[in-house]
Amino acid sequence: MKRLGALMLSLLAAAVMPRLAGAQSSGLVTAMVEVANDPLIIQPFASLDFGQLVPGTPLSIAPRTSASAGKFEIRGVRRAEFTLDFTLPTLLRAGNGPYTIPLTFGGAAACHTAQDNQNACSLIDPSVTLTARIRNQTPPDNTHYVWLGGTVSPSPTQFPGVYTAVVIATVQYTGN
Amino acid sequence: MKRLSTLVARAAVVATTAIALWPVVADAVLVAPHALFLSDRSRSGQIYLVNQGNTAEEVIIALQFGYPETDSAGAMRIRLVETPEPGAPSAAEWLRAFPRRVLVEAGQRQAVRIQATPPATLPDGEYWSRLIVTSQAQPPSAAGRDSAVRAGVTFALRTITSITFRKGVVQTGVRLDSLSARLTADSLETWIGLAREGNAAFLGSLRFELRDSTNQVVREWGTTPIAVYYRLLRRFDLPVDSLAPGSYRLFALVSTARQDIAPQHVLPTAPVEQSVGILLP
Repeated sequence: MKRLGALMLSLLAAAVMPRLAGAQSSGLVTAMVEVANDPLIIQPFASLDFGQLVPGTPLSIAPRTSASAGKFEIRGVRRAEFTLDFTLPTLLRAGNGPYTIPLTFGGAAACHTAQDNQNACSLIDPSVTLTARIRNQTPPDNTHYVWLGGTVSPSPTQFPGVYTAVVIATVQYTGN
Repeated sequence: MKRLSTLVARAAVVATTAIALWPVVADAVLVAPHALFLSDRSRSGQIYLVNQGNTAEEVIIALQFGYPETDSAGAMRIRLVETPEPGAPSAAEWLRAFPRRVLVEAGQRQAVRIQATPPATLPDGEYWSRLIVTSQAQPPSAAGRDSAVRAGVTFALRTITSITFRKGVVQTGVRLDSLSARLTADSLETWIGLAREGNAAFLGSLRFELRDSTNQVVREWGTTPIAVYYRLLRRFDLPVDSLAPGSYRLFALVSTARQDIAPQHVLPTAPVEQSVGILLP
């Protein structure tokens, strides 16, 4: 998929280039293509999966150690500063029905690091805006990684079903 | 934003059918460029959405006034303002995106045209908006198991980029209001206050140099992009480990040099610098 992404970026650069070439010197065109090649993108590589639950038994997913943690890769302009905010739900719901499971995110329910190394990531509170910088490397190593865990607390009489919720992840450059 | 709420609510419903697979997802919509500049002579531009994932993505486009600011800890954040005060340099009310809702198939790209229709009486100056792109993967076809209790969280992704509209004469500058540094363990906790001048945001870069008593640079901290829309009070922790004890001067140097913005969009202004004395024990 990364190869496809690189191809799409090349196509995107090619699409932008003729418009610029008509008005600018070749040096400027080169600069603009570099800009077009370094957009900001957040990509989830894994959902936050609690799997099958035992009614009455809370289950926590640790962001730094669990393979079931949600995982994001953020790519952008090298050294560029960005913010990441999570909009966190408090309930998982079975379809449109009345049945729910409480969902909580503690003060260390997420972690982040510049490289793809989950065990070495720094713990953070996902309810607080993360401000960080893209790794100072050329593509495809212009990255930052975030993992998200959490805790579900099914009741002893939890109704069977598939319970889901949506986390909104918002990423943006600060311009700094 | 109502559409966004609807999308998220719908996503929660459709995720129910998808969760049985609980796949390793790789959905993402790339938004480029990350900053779009328009003017009264060039009132439209294009943003490209590229679906790098392997499933179709429903994408919703919204516009909202916003700008970067610092919090009490000296960290950056983007302030989004739903209802700007009268007189705020917001372009969000008169910018339009076409289309505002689109399905982008896997591996495909979609152009979104941004059109500015500012009021005729708009004063000269610079006006800002943020482009908010929200994407959510379409569900794979899968049936849910309901004989047990299963749970999981899916993600909606929101990428925010900037749009700048310039009319007439625009100029910018930056003033270094304050610079202070104190030694903490092996770092200099450095606070720098920057205030924008002129009628346009200052887009430039900041770097620090530490010079010894002979004015030789003994350490420098790389070029950091910086954007001053109003005023910033930023904190940096600058490592000074392994430096010999003695008197030094810390210089903050600010210029309009930027690698990530095309030169024609950079408003030139003279570089500024400020320094403060440091004593390393």
